[in-house]
Amino acid sequence: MLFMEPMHLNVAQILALAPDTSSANAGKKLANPKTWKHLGRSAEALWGECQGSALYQVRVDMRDMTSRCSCPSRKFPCKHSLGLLLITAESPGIVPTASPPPWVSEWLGKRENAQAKREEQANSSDNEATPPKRRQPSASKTAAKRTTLVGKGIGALDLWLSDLVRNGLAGVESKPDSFWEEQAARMVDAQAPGIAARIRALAAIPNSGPEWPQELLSAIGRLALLTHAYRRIDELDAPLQEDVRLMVGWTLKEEEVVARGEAVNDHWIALGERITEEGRLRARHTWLLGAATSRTALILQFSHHGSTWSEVWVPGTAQEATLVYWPSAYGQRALMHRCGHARTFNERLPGLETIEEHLNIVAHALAQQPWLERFPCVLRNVVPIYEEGRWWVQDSTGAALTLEPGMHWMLLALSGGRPIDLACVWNGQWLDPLGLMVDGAYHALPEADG
Amino acid sequence: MNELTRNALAGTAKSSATLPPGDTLLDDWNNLGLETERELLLRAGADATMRLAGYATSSSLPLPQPADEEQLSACSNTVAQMLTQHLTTPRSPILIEALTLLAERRRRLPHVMLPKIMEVKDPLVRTAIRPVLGERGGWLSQFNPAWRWAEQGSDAELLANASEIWEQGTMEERLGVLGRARAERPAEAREWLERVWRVEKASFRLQALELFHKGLSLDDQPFLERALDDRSQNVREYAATLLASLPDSALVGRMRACADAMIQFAPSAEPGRLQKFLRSITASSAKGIFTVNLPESLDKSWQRDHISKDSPIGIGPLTWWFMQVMANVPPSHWATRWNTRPAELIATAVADSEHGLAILKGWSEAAINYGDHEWALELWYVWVDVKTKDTFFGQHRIRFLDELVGVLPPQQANDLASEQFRRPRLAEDARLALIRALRTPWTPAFGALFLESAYPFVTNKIAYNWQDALATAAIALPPQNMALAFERYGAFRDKPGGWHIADFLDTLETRQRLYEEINR
Repeated sequence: MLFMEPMHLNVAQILALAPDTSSANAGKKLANPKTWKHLGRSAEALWGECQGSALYQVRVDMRDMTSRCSCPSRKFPCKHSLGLLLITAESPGIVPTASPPPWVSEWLGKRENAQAKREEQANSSDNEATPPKRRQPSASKTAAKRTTLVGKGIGALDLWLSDLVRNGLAGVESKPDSFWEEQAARMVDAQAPGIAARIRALAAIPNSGPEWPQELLSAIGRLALLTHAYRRIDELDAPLQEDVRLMVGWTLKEEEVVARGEAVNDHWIALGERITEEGRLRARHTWLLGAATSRTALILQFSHHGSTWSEVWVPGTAQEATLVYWPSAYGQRALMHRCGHARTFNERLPGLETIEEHLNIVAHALAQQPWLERFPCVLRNVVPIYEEGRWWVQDSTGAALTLEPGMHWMLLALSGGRPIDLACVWNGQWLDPLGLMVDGAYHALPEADG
Repeated sequence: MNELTRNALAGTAKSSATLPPGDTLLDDWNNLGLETERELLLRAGADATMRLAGYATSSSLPLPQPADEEQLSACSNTVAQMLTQHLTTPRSPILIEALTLLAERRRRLPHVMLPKIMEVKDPLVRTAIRPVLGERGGWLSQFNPAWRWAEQGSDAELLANASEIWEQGTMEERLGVLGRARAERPAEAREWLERVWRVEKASFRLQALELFHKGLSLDDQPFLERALDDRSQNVREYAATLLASLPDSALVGRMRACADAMIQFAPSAEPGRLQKFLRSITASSAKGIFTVNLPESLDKSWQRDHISKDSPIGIGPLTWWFMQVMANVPPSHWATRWNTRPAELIATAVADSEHGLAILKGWSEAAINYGDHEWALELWYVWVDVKTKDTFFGQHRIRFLDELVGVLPPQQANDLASEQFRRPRLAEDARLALIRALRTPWTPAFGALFLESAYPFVTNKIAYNWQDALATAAIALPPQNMALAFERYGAFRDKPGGWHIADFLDTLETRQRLYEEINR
């Protein structure tokens, strides 16, 4: 195993790991050398004993930033772990290199064993007979029942869509939210939750701006294409069939993804994350870029309000890992199957030299999977511009794209009118800037405010 | 809006025309024998996808002038982190101290901090921020009108933009621009204001006038004299205040003439019994007697010069007018006029049982108004030991103990404080006034004295007055005394009721860390 540089996180990155502000503040208070004993570090780990209301033993596995503390808190990372990381970042001199005490090496040993077991299982499943190329219709009654329900639901949906257009979209302006909500509920009953989500998203479009009729027609048009594709699903290529099923609402378990999806090993650079709220469910979109393959990937995680995320992706760090993409005609969403060490990424980000290149990639992607909505990329040597109230980035050829509405002061402050390398997500209308590399340091950008 | 959308908006039921023919492969839906609505939907979907795939960029936009290379190097991330925490505390003195230190060490703030730091509203903090913004901060300020305060540019550049803002900006923007102009070209700023004076609202006139203390000179006199007749009382008052602060102004000349008429000094050869007694206290000789002729009535011209008519409770109007006039005459006038040393004149006033306190009050106000060190020091010595049952003068005594110290140069003030603190019987209110009034940072000599003398008051159940003193000391104590503070007071941090000490020591620790990090 290659010896990797241990990850050096700075204070801002450490605080970004905190599950909430009270943990961050508590962590800062605990970053006082007086509260710590027996601090030490090695190539793999960081440890110390913290005097709080009791003496807590805190360990951090530096390869993937997992921490383990003997305190009873259910938050992860807990305030003691944050304190340990902060002290190491601020006063590295007081954390000497040493060989880990038993309570640390035991824990590391257990983790390595668990990891080895997982790899073993993965290897053994790899050696099984090649999985079937098409999903065989299951003999069980529930699967057949679902297919029937979905078919009926989609039939009803198509009639509803045609009605909309027959009566005119102008009539939709005055409809209450329940109009859309009821149709969405019918699709949920028909066991097509993916379509239900699309219908709910339509509710926000009427009156949202001067171009709303076109926007609404585009959205329901693409929905019609989806139902059209679903009715002829057997005529589609296998990968596209997977996409259609996923969009309608079938889900795959992790084992199924691993069995059928494309595995890609690389050092994956975390470009940034965006969090959306849907009721009491929070979804975290983390965008990754492969340092060697230049592939992009999306990690989606869900949590209920109050609980914490299970995986840690620190923007600006590169995690050695094998990702497996969901089977698709154009891989985007992926899960992490195996991971190795993480390190801070200081080099230039691999990326595209012109916006034209990016738009060509977008066209190519849509040709494979026409329902794609988000397109991540790294644009090199672009200048952020703020002109008469509008935001742009312009490449070296003079081509420019608009940025998401709102203020992007951090982007302007860090770029200073000079070309920078920008990681962003294009949605067909504007770019959401995720982060930029400046002077060898990566800065994640917050969502536009205002 | 394209054809398809128009059709869809109106509804296919209403529009009699069939769908327009498309011209791409994807528009060949007719062969599928679809009904119109379905055809429209599918074509719209395909159209949307194609538009997404065929997005055309905007053409060349004008590039902004990039920011200049930074001249100063950025402070460390640790310092930046600590400063960011203090940004949310209003008027944090620790923040101001740290920013000043950064400026001294020729450092700037990192770019990452700029958007947040530009949002600061407090003028004192803004003043401390300007020197450490670097080139990037100045460059960034051009993009947001709310950040104009951070603009750094040549006079010509700034003023070119400025007159536009003066014509058309909001009240806040215009005052901002006037303030900057006043700092760099006072005469031009005054001309701007004169041109619009008549049509502006009273609140604007007052706030604009408040900017005039910058660059105030006799050139402003004609304008300010006219303002003495303004419609608004607040404006009249402030104009008088400004004129009174110029020792050579006509207003002060008028006050001087009035004062000369009211008070005469006759040197005397024979010291009386009372004077002999007082000499022994003040250790300087009162050389004469004052004759005071209080005015019978309040002249209209005095009122115009803003002598207020109504006296506070406990003071007669005549004496009140007398004190106000005295307050507007620079004290050095009296030493020259009577060819006598200030200490001796002051001693004479101390000896005067009838008008003494009034004279001393007038002189004290004048010493504060005109920043006269010599008079301020001598008068301070009087007030510290004066015992009076009179509530009016008693209240002013405390204020003078504070404000007269403020007039002294820092070293002299610290020396005075050190000398006084060594007196065992120094009155507590004088002690606390000194602590309040000394400018930060204290000298190490005084810092050490403070720690010693505060000890008994602070470590037993802390008296209410000493809480404030401790809070002041937390900011004012210089780094050289911090080790002593931790040593002497550390043990009391965790005792019950010891949270004042804990706060005090915590603030010292934060400041010490900032010092160490910035100096690294």
